[in-house]
Amino acid sequence: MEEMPLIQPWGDVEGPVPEVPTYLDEIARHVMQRYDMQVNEIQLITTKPDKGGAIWYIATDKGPRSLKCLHRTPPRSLFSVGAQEYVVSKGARVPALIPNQDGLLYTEAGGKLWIVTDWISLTPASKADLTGAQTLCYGLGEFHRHTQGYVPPQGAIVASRLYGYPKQYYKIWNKMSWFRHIAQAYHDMPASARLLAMIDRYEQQALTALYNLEYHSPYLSLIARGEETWGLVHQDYGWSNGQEGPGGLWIIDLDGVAYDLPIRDLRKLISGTMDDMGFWDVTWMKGMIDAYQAANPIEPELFQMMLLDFAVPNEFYKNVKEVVFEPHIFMDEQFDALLQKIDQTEDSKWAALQEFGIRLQNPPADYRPNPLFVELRRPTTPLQAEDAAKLQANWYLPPEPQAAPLPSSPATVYEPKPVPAEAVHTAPLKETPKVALQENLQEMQTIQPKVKKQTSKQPLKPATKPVAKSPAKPVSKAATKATAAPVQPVQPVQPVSQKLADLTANQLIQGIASPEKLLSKEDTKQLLVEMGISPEVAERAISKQNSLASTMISFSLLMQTLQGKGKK
Amino acid sequence: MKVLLIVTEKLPVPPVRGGAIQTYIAGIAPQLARHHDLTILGRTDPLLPDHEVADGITFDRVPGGHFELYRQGVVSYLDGKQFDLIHIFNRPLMVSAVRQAAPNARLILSMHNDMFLPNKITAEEAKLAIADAERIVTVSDYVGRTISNLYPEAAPKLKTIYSGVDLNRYLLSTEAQRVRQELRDLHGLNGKKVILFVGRLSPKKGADILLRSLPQLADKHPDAALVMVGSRWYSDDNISDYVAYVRALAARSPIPVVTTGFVDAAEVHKWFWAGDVFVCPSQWQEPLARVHYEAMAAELPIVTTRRGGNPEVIDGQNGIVIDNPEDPASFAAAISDLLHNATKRRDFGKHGRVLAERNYGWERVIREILEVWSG
Repeated sequence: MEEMPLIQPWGDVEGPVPEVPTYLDEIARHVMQRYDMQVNEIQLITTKPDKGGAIWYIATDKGPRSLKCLHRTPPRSLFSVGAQEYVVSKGARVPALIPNQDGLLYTEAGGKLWIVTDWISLTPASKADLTGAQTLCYGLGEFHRHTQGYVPPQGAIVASRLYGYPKQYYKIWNKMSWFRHIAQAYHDMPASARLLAMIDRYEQQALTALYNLEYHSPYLSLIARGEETWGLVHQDYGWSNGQEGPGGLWIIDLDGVAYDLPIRDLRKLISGTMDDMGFWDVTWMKGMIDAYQAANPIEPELFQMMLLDFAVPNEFYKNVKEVVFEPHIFMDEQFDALLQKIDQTEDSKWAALQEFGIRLQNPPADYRPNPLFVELRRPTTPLQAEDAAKLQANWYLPPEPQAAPLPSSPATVYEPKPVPAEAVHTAPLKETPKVALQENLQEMQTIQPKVKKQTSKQPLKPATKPVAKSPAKPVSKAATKATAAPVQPVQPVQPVSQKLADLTANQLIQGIASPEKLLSKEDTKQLLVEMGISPEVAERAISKQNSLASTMISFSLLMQTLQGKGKK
Repeated sequence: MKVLLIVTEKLPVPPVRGGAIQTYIAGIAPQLARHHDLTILGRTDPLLPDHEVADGITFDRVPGGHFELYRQGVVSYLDGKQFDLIHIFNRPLMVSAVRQAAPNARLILSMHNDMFLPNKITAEEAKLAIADAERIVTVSDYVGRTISNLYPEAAPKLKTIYSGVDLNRYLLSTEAQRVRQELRDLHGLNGKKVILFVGRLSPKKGADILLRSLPQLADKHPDAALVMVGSRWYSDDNISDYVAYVRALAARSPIPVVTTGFVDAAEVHKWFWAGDVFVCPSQWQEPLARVHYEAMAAELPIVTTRRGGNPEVIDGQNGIVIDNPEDPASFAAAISDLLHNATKRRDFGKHGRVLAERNYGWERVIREILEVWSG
């Protein structure tokens, strides 16, 4: 591929007409050439100048399509690309990614990932009545259900907000004092008096939410189920990213998806709708929640979490947080009027939450947020064996024949619109697209591990006899033949040493950073057994030091396997 | 003895890209190498060869950046090598791997911050690290306490060795007086009483609290000025909410606020020379900020907070400890006290220098580390 400039942000906000720099147009043209299509017309639809992303409408001989430059870093975008492919395979109404001529579902160019999908003709659901909102909620429930079980491709940076609730609540609480100090320092501004008078109430709400999150909520037990169990949350869902199209509601712009509790999208959608209405309407809220539940039932604990997430002063925070930037301009009469409106809406919000049965404990007077809880983060412990096995498997394998969709909860009153059967997919997948990860990962990763030439390493101590000698020959012999073959589906009877040998050099190099992704504990054990070590000793070696032993064993195996291939 | 120091995976040694631990190791290594056969194992860097011998120290470098990757590199590096003693810096997660790879070496672990907290290491792994290490050296009593509170079995292995400062570089010489005047001229600080803040702009470091104390100071000290060193005020694009907040507060400050932007570590001592009162408004339980040693070495009286290890280096004659760090009025009172009283400022500064010379030079750090190594 010829040299292309790296795509950089080119401005702050989009002007009246979307524009991109000339070089980006050129990269777009270059990207389009890598697809099996004749492009007759190109039209820039929307841009993210501050992030470096854009969407084009392209008329092709294969029909109207969309070309999108994802603004995030490639490993981060890979997470959402994998997610999009996954939900399509599960039958979600999300535009399917069209493979390029290399069979890849994305094209890397200019330091970004690009995707091509069919252009689906969509119309926004009605915003004026509850039916439109219900359509949106039902579609959201379907989407969430389809995302369950998603495992990102290797090399993807995982996007997760599942563990971020304490930090988020804390941040909102903590910033209330910033707002207060700004209002004090800028007391001569029109809105400062009202802002000062309002802050106490919202500060207390945020603290109460944080306190309940830690001590009186099912949060920790819910997130303990893990990211894949919960699946993905869109994070930017509303009337523009969920629209009606062939077969029902379509969901687009998946770039921001992250593991999360599914109620986050629903909560945001309801908060936003109520905020826009200027009144928290229980009938609407019930209708929206019921419609969601018809597609994806909410268990009682999760419902409780949703109520708690409502209790956070989200709307106040969202409207006020910009005050730290240029308060001498921001806190004008207009802002004062906005504050007035927020305060008026607030009473109806709490009346509505009461009707849903919200129960909050007041924090004790001496309550201070617990720093350990606030700094909760994704667990660093290695993936469990079954996860590793999943990662080993070919994540883009053709979807299994579709299971019948879950029946919607009989208790619910919401019935989605009937779907015309012929209009389900505008572009059914003709063949399974390949995602040649092994070729692209290396360019994408920021860490480029070097492989030492001297690799005849002794394995670790746990085994009673040396394990380096016996397997070295078959492994490295087999290894020399494999070069850049795509990942093979794992055969059930395949010996583990063979499995290792079948991996490409690049995969092995990538695997050094986390070999447990290449080799599960079970496989590590089996490999040791294949080397002639007794199963008991192997078992002990692996279980001895948590995952460390297996990690290191697999590392030394990788080192052996690497001998004779892929040394660069 | 054949001794190996294992640096963290983040930054290389020598500290061509900065880093507190890296600076620390660079400060002590040349002297240590006079007593022992010293190898430093760190991460690779485009600016540095993977292997070199310099100043009698062997440097070996394996790929870093990512901890797991680095740990595996360390393990494979150790294979077939013999060291009498291996000193691991700030990575308890490294200890058991090294123990397995070098079963006969003595292991020492140095702790520079809170890597033993439960969100950084599981109890199982922490206990293994404690069991495998012969001694655990900490940069403050506070860091040691955070370990022994969680793992009482660590207590007998703990030893505080305070960090050090280059005493010569910070010495308030005639040249230093000239530089002080130059900097003050350059930034319109002539005739001002300069309050000095050195550090990142982050909520943990508390610049916002210091700024909020200024209105209360201004009445009594209209001739005061605040200098904020090393903080990134105007980064190219997205400034964080916190930086915006601090800037908004500074814009309404009744006394001048001078910001220097990023200052190279090799130049930062000059700003210590230019100050009159040094303030460390840390809000978090920090291990023990290096700036305290630097302020003492430059004869500056200190106002710091009762957070983490910071109060351990204040004896009442070199600075003031704020018991309630969230309260701007406490800062205003302490700073005001020092600004009022030139004699007190001078006495505190002089005493700080005496303490620094007695306790916080690199010589003392080296001596104590050698003692730990000798068993």
